[in-house]
Amino acid sequence: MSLVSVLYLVFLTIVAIAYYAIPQAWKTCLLLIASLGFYGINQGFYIFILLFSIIVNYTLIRLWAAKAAKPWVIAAVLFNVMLLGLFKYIPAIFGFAHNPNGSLFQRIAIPIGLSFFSFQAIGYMLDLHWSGKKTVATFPQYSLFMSFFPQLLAGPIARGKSFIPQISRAKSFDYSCIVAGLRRILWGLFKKVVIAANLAPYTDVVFQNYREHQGLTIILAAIAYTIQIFMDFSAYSDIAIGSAKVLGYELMENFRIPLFARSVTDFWRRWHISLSSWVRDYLFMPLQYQTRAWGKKGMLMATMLTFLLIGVWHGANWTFVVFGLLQGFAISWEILAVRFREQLWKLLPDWLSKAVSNLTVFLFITASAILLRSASIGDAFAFISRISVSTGTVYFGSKQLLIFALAGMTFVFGVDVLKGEMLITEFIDKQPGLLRWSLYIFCIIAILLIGSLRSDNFIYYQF
Amino acid sequence: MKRLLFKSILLLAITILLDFSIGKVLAYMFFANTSGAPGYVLNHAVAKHYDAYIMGASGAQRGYIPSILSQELGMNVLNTGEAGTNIFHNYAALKLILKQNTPKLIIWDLTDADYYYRPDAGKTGMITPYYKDASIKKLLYDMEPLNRLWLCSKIYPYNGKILSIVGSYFLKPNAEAGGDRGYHPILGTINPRLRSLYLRQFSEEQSYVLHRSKDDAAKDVLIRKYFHAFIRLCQQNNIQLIAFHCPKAPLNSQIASTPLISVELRAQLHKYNIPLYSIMPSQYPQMNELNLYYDFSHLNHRGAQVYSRIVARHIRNTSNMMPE
Repeated sequence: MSLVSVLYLVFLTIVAIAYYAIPQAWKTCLLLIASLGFYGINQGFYIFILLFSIIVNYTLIRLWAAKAAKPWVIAAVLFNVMLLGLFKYIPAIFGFAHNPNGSLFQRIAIPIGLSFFSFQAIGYMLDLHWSGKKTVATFPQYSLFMSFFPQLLAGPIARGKSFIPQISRAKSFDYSCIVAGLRRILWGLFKKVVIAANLAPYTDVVFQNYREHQGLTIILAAIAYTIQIFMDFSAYSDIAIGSAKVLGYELMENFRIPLFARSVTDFWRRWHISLSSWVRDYLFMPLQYQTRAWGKKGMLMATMLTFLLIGVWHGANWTFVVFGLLQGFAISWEILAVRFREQLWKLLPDWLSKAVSNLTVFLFITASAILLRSASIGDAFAFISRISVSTGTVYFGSKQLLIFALAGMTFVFGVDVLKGEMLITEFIDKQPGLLRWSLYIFCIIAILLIGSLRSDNFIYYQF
Repeated sequence: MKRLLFKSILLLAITILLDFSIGKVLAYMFFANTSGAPGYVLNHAVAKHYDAYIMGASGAQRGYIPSILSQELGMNVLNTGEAGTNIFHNYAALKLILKQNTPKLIIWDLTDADYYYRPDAGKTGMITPYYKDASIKKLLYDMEPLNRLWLCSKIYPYNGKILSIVGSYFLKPNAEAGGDRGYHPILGTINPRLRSLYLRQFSEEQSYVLHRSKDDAAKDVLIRKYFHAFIRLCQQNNIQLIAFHCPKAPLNSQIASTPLISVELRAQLHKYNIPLYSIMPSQYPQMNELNLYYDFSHLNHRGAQVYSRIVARHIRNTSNMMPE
């Protein structure tokens, strides 16, 4: 049951109706059943991995709460790292590529959402330990925190300290909250179906058969992939945040117009915020604190390690390691050259410095995203090397699909420029009624008319 | 709650009204295009009568020249091939043609994708506008149960086609848009530098019918249902069905002599007494030149000319095939 399927919308409607119809005391239980059912439908018997993770993590939390002993925290971190290793890294490192008809090891796939709920579990345990408070969530509350269906498959990575208090808060039917959620879902569907899904056939063809293409085609495909991955993942986040909002929950924002960032540091404050803030809080800050005596060197080391983790979080492939290191190097350079960059930008008019820095970041991210899409480092370099061969004839694939995606992109980026840092739901809320309704109808008709309705997978499921 | 319900109903009503109006306009514009251009070939097939139809996917569309076949066989021929399609498209095309006309012959460019599910085959965009036809509606429902919902929308059948529909309506397709009665030549020759890529394609195509996952096997069932239905439809209407298998670029002796048609598919054709001609370059020296191919699986225009003559010869030689 993909988040862009009719089935999901029906499921969400039924859950929401039931949720507001039953007494407060039963609401957590209903959401828990719905979440486990949702995961079971999507992942079959892998639901036992999720249940196992919840039970073991909660046991460790209770043990910690009894004595506040550090070993339980270490045990919790190790347990989640081992779980990730067992399913995500060991099979890849030892060459057991997933094969449904292969040996036992080959038949094991990565449970979707494992990286997300494992990080949530680690974050919650560390928050508890660092705060020193022994008030822990109840088992149903903790289970819901770990398995809440809107964000279970691909985030945003929730934090216990903001999510768990929401569970016990009384929730009644709130018109504005539900409308805001529905708006967000519609916006996400538009981005996924009209832009990301229409770009996918083009990027798939070029990346899979890059040896057949060269020059401008390669550049176009790389740019298209950057936009596709952004639209795809931000669409998922919109639908997840919107679905949670319909049920009266606030999830962390995951994107703040990242393609308008003016430095790589700025980009990572705007892109996959729930992951970047997680590594900032649980890895970068402690590391920086530990190495504070080393000054800038300590900061650079913490930066590199943090981005190495971000890279490796995506999977067990050298491409992800290099992706992470590239981001680390870029941010390290920005830390070291802060004065030089400031002086350089002062030489240019304000608008030009903004445009140049924005374009530079976009090109850097586009080049790094090739690593996320390529099967190996060799493939990534071979892909990049095709840029220089010759311009040749540019391959556009289905021009209609590219035009649809371009039209959708122009619309979304236009709205992004107008709304700035404001959330899309707030922006829509501020518009006159006629414009608001026109926007809803435009999105629905565009989805039916030019949307690729067969697309159901999100890129970030694989991570 | 009442406010939300009221506004939802209002939004739904406006959307339905717009959907209906836009859908009506698109339908009018779509069916006005009978040029036979790719994506509209069925409009042409329904509007005009032909004695014989070429059916298949991109291999048919780019490999069989109706003018050559008409000249050699003395009958009117239309090429209904559409890239990325499989047996679903052939079945729908035949159903629509039979409403107006009973052809004498169907030249079937057969591939394994007509019997085994392949994710890159099975496009239905060309047949969804005909959803009002009961048999096509059933086919669309069989393929995707959610089509019961999607087809409530009058816009959905034209999903992804708006530019082509509006463009061809206002700019009027030129005389070449329909190609040579549905045949669309491709120029250029195979790039030998991509040899390793094509060799991989050959081995993948050879192996995909052997390793079927559970999901694939489930999807094969539906494809086979329409495979048999298509053959039965031909037999019930006394249409001569002759299957051909287009040659692949002879990059080595193995490719030149190995037809990419599974044993099971051959057995099925044999069961129905359908003649199958695999035009292997090893047996047809005139096809054994790389410059007749556009890529691994498609002929270029020169190749199509040579191949169409071979096809015509086989049809002529097949018993009870010659027109009276």
